[in-house]
Amino acid sequence: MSATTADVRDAGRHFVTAGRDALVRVWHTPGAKLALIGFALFVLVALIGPWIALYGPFDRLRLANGELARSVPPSLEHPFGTTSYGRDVLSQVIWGTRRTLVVGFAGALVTVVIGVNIGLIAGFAGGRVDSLLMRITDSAYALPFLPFAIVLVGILGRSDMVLLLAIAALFWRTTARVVRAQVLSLKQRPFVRAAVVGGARPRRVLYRHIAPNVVSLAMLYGLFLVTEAVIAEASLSFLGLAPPDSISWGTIMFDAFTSTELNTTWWWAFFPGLAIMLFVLCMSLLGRAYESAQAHRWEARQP
Amino acid sequence: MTNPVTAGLTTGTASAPDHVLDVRGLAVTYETADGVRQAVESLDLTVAPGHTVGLIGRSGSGKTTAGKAILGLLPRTATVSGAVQFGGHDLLAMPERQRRRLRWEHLALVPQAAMSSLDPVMAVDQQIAEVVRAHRDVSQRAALAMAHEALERVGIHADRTSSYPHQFSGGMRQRTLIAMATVLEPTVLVADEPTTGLDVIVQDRVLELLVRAKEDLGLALLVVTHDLGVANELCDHVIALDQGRVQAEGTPAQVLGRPHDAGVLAPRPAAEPESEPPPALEVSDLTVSFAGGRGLAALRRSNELTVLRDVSLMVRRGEVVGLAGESGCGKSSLAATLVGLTEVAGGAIRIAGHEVAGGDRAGWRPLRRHVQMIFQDPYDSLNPRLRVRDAVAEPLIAQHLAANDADRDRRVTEALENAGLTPASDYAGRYPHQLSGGERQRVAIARALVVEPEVLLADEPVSMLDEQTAAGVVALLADLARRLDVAVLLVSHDVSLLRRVCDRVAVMYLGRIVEQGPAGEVIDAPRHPYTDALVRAVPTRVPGQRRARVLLKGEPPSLRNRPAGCAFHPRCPHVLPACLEDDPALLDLGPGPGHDTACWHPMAERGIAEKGGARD
Repeated sequence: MSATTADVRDAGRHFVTAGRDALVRVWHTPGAKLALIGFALFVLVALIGPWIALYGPFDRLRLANGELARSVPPSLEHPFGTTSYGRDVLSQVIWGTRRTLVVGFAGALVTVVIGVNIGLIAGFAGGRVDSLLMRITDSAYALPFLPFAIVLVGILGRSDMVLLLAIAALFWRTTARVVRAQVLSLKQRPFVRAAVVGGARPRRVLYRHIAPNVVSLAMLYGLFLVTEAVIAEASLSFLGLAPPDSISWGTIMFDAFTSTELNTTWWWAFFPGLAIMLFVLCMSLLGRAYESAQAHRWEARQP
Repeated sequence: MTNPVTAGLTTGTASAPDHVLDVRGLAVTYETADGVRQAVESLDLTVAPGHTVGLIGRSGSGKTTAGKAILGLLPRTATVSGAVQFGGHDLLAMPERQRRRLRWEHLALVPQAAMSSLDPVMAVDQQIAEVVRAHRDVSQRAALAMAHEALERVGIHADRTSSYPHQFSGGMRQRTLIAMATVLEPTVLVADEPTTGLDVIVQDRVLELLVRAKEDLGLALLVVTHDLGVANELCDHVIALDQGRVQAEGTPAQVLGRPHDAGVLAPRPAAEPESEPPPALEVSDLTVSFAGGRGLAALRRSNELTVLRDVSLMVRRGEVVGLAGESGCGKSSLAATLVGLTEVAGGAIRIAGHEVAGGDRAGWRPLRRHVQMIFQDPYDSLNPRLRVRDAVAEPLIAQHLAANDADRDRRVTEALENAGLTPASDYAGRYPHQLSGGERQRVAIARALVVEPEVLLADEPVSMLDEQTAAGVVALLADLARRLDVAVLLVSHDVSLLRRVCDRVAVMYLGRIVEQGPAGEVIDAPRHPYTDALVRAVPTRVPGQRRARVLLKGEPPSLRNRPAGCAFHPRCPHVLPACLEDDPALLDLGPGPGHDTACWHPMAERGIAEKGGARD
């Protein structure tokens, strides 16, 4: 087994160096700087949110005259306004950043790891294993996400783990398919045949020779999966499937919707929605930049 | 025809200066991260109608860059200076839109990569018609008619004109590109490595077509090539480039006759060993078939393709045996079978005294330290993500052959140095993309050598390298056979290369060995008419001399419908009734010992008969 752990460690090391190289290249890709700065700001807010937010997410604020600060429109004091319960929307959005990003990244990571491995094994093994795994992949495509997640929460209860499970159980499908396709063509490349002739066993061929060559593709899908996971988290939270007392951009909108006062307090749902849109936009732009940076490198490599 | 050089020049300068391509002081520089790189320096050349000029040189010598610069096809990162006069205009000074109108109409290009230059989802005649309609205001029907005419000119007949590129062989694709380039009857044709990657027989037809197109259409032809033989045969005037500078210029006889160019030939290795060592590789009656079709169709036996039939071959330690034949004859399948990448249907393989049982991958594993392989494409046979050091160490790690890390490093260094990569420390830390084609192939050789094998298979190891690099790699293989006492099986379509380095040569046709024997005998005095055609398809290297071509009819027949009797009979120029009836066996027909031929009427016999007759 030690050979396998070493191989997996090798693959992991490739992931790290590929990530570092990619970051440098993406920075020099036109149009990526803004997205990268935006992304860095979101991460910063997620990290230090609790220290920069003026109020707690559930603090009920009062006006100078001692009345509850209900539904105050955006002003200098409350830039994003307050909710009908007297909570500061800006502080809620800041607090919610962390949960949104954690669910987004953890969901994407788990999903990519599952998808890449299923794709690698299906493409490499071929035959019955491939057919079986691809039929499972088709089944994952056949399941509608929201009903699946609602039923899952209904059975297992509302928790972060169940949210991640719902995301990871379905979203690996696309990654698995593209990685499998890539493996099918890599498998025929002379360097893979050379590895077989060199005496490498199947597991070594797969994780040492093929896997590192799908890393950049996996990174790309990972980036896009972050946006999918963030949107999925927001959708589920908006439907009230997030654990109680948790705060994310989706739960803020859920509260806004259930308060029935959305017609008078547009800012309550607008600002968390704007945050989701900006974050997803940043990630998509980053994905595109990474894609074109990779394409550029592939071109440069041609003799 | 009169001397094309003077004929072209006089008409060019006197009556029709418009049709002369005149390049003066062409220079191309690239701005790279490491500063400015000069790709081409002060190049002068003139091509007149009916005249052929060759730009020759190794890869990276700037010949392709110069060709593209003349047509204005370089990317914007390149700075081009000088003058390219054509039809009274300077092509370099005119705007791109105007140049685009001149291209195809007057200046056409036959690009190098035939597959990637054609649209895979469009029939070839449609593609050519599209070119026509982009330049001429004609109906689709008229454009198609012109396309068909152009295809007919290159020998692609009406029944194939609506095919898609993937349905064509490499030679037919190259011919399609010539048809596309000549459909508008241009004045100047630039052919960029028109025959690279084609086997000699197809190459010969493509050369013939270029010459015919030049004569029929009165083209001025500029040929960019690394193949000195092609340059010798095709060109009236040759310009040799090295690192962007003109090294030599003149007629092929003047340029190719110089000693420094003769030096690209590897010396014939030392004499045969006196004692007969035991064979390291022995193949007897080997048969390999692939399932044809997909899905259920694959189960039907009638769909099976027999790729190799009753192949018997032997290679001793310290010996280099060549395997020749045109593409698709099964020589690469044989190499793949001998390293266990293909399943065996019948016969036996014995490597270093071990019998191989069936096509079981696990059964092959203990043999991996005795037999290793070098692949054709040096750009793709190394994992792009592994440094040289790790790539070479791979077989040692995978097979647990090194005692410890120090032992492994020592063996890697030794293998790199044996492969001519000295000092090894200069190369160990590099990635494949930081190496040249020749260096990569040497890394592949080091990776094969590191397990100290007894048998080394090389599948077209130099067909993608330029001549000088190729000569070095081949000489290295021959040297390794002697120095390390390895048995080398060298697969190549280039018979002149095999002649130089091999002790013995086997020739394959449609999965069978049709002739084998001592290299000198088989290639200098072939007995099988197919070997004869293969040998004669090689452009002659004697400066200024042209050869009598033996053009074989048609494309090689496919394995799917192997002709009855002798498989070669439909293409054989000397076919007899007996050839249609029975397949001849591989028999020792001499002249020397160990020279086997499978033919009903071998060459030497017929040669005598013809002398008796009235021919010539």
